[in-house]
Amino acid sequence: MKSKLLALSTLALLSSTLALTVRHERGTLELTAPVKRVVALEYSFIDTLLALGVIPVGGSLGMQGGDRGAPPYLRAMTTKIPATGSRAQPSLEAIAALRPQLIVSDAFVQGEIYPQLAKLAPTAAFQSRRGSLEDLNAQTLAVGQLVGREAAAKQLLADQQGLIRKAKTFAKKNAPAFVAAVATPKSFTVHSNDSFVGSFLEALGRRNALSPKGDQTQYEISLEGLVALNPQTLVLFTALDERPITEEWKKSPLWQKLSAVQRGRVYVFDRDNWTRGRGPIALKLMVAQAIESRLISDTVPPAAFRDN
Amino acid sequence: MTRPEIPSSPLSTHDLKLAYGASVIVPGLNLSLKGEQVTSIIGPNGCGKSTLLRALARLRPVSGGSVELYGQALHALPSKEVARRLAILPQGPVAPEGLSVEELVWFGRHPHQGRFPVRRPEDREAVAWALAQTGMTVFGSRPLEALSGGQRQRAWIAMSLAQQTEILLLDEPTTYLDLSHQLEVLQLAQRLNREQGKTVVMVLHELNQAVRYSDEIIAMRAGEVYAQGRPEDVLTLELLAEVFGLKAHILSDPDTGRPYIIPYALTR
Amino acid sequence: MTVQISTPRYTDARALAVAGVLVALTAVLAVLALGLGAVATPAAQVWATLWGGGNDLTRQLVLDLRLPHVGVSMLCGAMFAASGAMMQGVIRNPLASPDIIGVGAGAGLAATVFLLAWPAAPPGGLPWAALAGAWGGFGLVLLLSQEWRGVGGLHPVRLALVGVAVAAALGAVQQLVLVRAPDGLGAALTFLTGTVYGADSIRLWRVLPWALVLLPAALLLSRTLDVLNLGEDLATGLGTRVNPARLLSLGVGVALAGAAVTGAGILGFVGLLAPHLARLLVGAKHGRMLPVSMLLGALLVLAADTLGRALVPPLEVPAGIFTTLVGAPYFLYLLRRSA
Repeated sequence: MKSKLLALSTLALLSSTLALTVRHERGTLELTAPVKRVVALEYSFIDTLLALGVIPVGGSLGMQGGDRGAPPYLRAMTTKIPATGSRAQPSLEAIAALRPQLIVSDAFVQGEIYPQLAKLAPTAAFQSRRGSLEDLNAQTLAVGQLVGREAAAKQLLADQQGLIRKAKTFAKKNAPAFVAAVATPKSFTVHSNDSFVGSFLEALGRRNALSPKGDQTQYEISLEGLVALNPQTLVLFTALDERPITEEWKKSPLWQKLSAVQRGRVYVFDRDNWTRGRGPIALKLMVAQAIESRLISDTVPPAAFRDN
Repeated sequence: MTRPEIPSSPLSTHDLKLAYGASVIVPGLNLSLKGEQVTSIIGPNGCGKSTLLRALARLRPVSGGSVELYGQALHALPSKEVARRLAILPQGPVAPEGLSVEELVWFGRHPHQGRFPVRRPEDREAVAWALAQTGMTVFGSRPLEALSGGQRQRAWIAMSLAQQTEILLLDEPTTYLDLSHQLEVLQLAQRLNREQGKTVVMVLHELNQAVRYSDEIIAMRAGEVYAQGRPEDVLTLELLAEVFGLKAHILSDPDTGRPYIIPYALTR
Repeated sequence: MTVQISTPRYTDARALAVAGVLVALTAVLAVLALGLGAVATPAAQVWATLWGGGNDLTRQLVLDLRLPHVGVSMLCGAMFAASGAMMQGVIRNPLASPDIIGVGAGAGLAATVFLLAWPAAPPGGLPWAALAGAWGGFGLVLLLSQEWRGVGGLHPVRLALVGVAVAAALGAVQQLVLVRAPDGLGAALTFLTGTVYGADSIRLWRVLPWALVLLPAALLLSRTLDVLNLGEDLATGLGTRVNPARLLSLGVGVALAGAAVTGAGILGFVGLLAPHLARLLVGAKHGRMLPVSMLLGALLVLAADTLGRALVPPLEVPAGIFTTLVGAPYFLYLLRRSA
């Protein structure tokens, strides 16, 4: 009995010293103590850190190389955070100069320069850009551990669960499957049920019509491809300052024949917030908008979320 | 340089066949050149004289038979060894821009040098000698582009001389030169033979020049040797008609007593 | 007629002076480059750091981040320049340059396929794949332009045209392979676009052994190149076995380009620009032209990379963009002159 107690207490001791062992895409990170100075190389990591009450010492908030800066919902909160270049090519020098204790990187976007990042500071690599809702939630927990705010992270996830449960009460039973896509001036990229937004909308109680193609969770399709799918509900993510390709498609009679168009179930959201924003703060906004837009209840959207 | 015991011909051919693909230029040639003489190969365009000269210098492959250098199969000898015994100046050589005369002449030492370009005293001597022989010493530091046509040709000959070979082959060395520069080159060839005992073989177009500056003439027609011998024996009315299709007067050169040819009509 | 004795335009003394100036310029620029970046480091601190001083941050910035950058830039520039110089000498074609005649594109395609087919390959394998691809692209161009049959006899523009077409085709195949490739490989290949971004000591060590072997090998071949440059007839007449000599020289030239591609991707027109500039400065003799060409290539890419890092920090503009901006007009000028 006594020996068992001793063993248990040793185990407890061990687990407390090893509390900062976090598994990530490129291995296991072991920290002796929670860190304060964190550089976040994807918007979701900035979102997560801010939600946990930690202000990153630097982030990929640059406007270069195709990046458009922080998503609108995050902008006001990130004005004071030094930018470390673009997400595709973070400036190693700028990161080094910030003397971070931890770098949180995207396993896909910054996969190639992971070794260089790891030389600057302990670096965790998570699938954010290609991650699902589940992945992102796991990351919230992991980041929470690394910055010593595990309890806060758990609370965030619990709140989020509550929010989603609440949203689900709006869900219409047996609502038809939806197709969700990012529409830019040049492309129409659908997000399958393994992508972040795709899986998020499923979590809210709607069914995604598409699963990944091979290992691609997001892929381009044409107007003909869309007509072939003929979704009852179409969810579009567009940017306010762009003329999406769907504007061109609308001139085609094919578009008018889409069930979603005929039913008036085309929902439009700001792509800067929805597809580049992930993390607890973004999620709150997205749940709210999903309810507000009446997407969950499968009813005609109000003017703010309507196409045109 | 040791010469073989038997004073065999420096350059000879045995059933030499030369062809470009399917078209045969020289069907089967047996030729023996005399050493320490100036030999000129003459003949109409397309008779194969340049092709033959190039084959004699292993610049082109043979399709059959052989070329022999002092009795040894030329194409089997190491190229570098051949280059120490036989120098060839091809038609219209082109040098990279910016080369000085002396730099060009140094290329002549290439066959004598090893992997690393160490400039030994004998190399320096050979270069100085070649420049002096061609009267190019004062132009040594000039870029080639800055020279007249005749000077440039002399510079190229100097490069061949720096190879210090017994045999010197010149392919149409007077082409594109004015008359005085032509004579300059021919006199140089003759002097090299008289003073250094070099075997000189040239392809020439100008018959009277060939006669005047050669000890031996090889007249070619359609890939075959029509006649070979002393100029006064070879250059006959019959040969001019048969080989060149020319009607001509043959006078006697008042200086040398050799034939002097004045063509006046075509035979056909 | 008066005989004027003029000094030659190109002498060893002149070449030494030019090389000296270039070495000095490169050294100054290298120190400058070591101080430039998202975070500026004063030259004095850079100097101190190089001699073992400096604080942790400057040591990290200068030694870990910028030094490999500068090293890769210089090595790849020198290798591309030497490759171009050798090819121009052997093929006797002023437009011969690794990126123009399919060598770069072949290496790029092979590197892509290699990474795709064997993602877990040891890092040393990549240069070999690139080398094989470099030969493949080059062979294809030679075959199609029949340049091999009459080296020097064919029109330079023909080689350039075939080269551009083959490079475009290989580039298209590479795009196709990338489209079919799993996610993430695209990012793994960003370095093939002619940028030194992300160059670290691993990349430096990948390129360095090749440079240490091939650059001296190129210099050792300079006399052979000189003789080959006289043309097939004269080279044969001087006792050179022309075909083996050509093969050896081209082998080193293609290998230089292949190895350079694994360091910094295809840095456009460096292999064209540097040798031409070197020839203008010190003449066509390879003993002088090759080293000067290498120095110019190193300087050119270092300048392009430094400019790219200093222009809109913290973003790095790929060095290849600048070399192409300078090189493309010169290429067009050469094309016009050769046509």
